[in-house]
Amino acid sequence: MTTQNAPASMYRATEGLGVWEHRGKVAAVGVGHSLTTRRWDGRPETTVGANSIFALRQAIEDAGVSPDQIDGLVLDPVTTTGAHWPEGDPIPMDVVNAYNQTDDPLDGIAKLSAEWLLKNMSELKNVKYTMYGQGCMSHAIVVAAQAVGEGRTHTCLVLKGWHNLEGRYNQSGISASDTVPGTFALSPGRTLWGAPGSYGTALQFAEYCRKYGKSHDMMAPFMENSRKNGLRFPEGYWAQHRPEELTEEDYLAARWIAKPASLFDNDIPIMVSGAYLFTTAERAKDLKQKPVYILNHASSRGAQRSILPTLDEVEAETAATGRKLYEGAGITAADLSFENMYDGFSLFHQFHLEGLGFAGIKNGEALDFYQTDISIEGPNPILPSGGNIGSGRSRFWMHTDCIQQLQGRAGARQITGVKPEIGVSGGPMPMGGNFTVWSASPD
Amino acid sequence: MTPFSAYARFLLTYPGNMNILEWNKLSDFSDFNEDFGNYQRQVQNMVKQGVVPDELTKGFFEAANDGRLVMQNCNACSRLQNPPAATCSQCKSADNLEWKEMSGKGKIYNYGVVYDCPVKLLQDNQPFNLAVITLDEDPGIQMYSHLPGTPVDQVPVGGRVEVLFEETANGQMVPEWRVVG
Ligand SMILES: [Zn+2]
Repeated sequence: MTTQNAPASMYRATEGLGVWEHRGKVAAVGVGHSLTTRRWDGRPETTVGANSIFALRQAIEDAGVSPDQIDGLVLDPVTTTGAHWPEGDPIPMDVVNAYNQTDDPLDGIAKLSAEWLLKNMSELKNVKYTMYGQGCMSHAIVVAAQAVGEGRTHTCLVLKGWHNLEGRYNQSGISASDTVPGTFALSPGRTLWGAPGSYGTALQFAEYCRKYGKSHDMMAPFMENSRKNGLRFPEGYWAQHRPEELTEEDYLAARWIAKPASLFDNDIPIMVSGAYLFTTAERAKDLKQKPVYILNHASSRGAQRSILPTLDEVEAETAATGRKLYEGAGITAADLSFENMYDGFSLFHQFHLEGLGFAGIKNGEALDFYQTDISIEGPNPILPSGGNIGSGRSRFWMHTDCIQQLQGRAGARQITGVKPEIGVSGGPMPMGGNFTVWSASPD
Repeated sequence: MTPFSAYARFLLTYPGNMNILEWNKLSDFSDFNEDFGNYQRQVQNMVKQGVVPDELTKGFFEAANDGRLVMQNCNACSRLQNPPAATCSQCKSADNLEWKEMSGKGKIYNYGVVYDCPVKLLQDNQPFNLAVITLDEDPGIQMYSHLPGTPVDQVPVGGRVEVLFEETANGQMVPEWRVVG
């Protein structure tokens, strides 16, 4: 039997659901990461499959459980950063043959099924529950938390892996073709008019700046802070490959991609896999690491009226996400010690912050807030993970950091200006994503 | 005043008895020439990928070939929608959708400037304007536009536009928008 996508009923996507019925009863107890690379170098030991096995084994070891106790595996089977296996290109059989294969030779190379992982991790003898949280780690976390809460799995691995191939992001395939189908031509994406990935966010940011009298250069302190925190994240891309600070000058001099979005406003696509181990709060008590409890998860499923979400639509959706998160966790904005909402594109992070009302900020105030102390030493740490701007596009540094901050093992990133008690992470988009409230205490 | 209207005024003073290129040199329009370069690039060379209409979009593209702008409209809800879809986004029914002709008048809602475009065919034209237009019939309905004729990054947000039709690489016409007034 092949693994299915999680049903919509596993996501808490509406308001009025009350406190999450499994609040404080699911815990994260292990973390694992592969090394990062910019792109795949063609070797069998560096595929997305290999990286994922490495990350999963790390998470198991970190948690101190024995592999035969693991009975669940939740992951995102889609691993592309935007790069696809070129049609007609030969598949490297030496790589395929290095592993136990499923019926798709690109499994483990340009996608990743639960079946492939189980065939190649013989120590996972007792996995009975597999499920896909398709989208990114934020989806997989929500599905795994719900599954453990409902008792479908007791000790569950959660995984997201990425592959990145040669070639420029989104520039192959239909972007290089002479003709496009009519439906594609009129779709809200890059279409006939050639919008880059960051275009939609750039426009929302432009509208935000016009409405509230803000400007792109006000983003500089946020960007500096993110890179600084990212360089303190040894698992991240910039720390491992390009340990350079990002100065205000660098940021303001960067070339435009879709003005007002510049190069650094986009997170860099990389290859990396990350894994967590979730179990019940009960079981978590006597494991190796301090448990981090999940107080709630919530999802946004916003739909714009036409081509691009307007500022009004974005602000309504992020405010609803904030209300859902607080309602299900039984907390208020004042209970958050720090935040790790998604930032890849940097120009929408303020929507997440304002929707949460983090540190009391209201719509239109986040860029002024960026001019205050947002460091890990200050009273309101913004993205202590450094996010994806600070560590490359994994879309999971934020979750890892929430877990590690609350365990007190975030190393050089450990926040000091405030006691880490409750954190929030999630993404990707303000109009559509999945979010989790983490706590040092189950109560 | 846009650089283009400055140039138009300059041309109007042309005495008619000398070479137009010589006449052009008499005045320093270096700023303008840069903008005019952008204008020409956009109008003359910015050819979009060809379009092969499919079932869902056939009505839209046939109308474009006739020089008409049409939008999907749900008769039951009296509600327009774009992009086109198989069902009405409000009542979810497929039975009441029809193509309704628009006046071709609208406003610039917002814009960005594209410097790093994924579409190969457009890369020679970088940087170029990419605006979002809203229709007078319903400001909730948006369409993309390269705003042919508008200098790069000099886009009058809120300004009025009207539709025109432009030939793509395979001859299929598509709606575009130009600033008016
Ligand atoms: Zn309807």
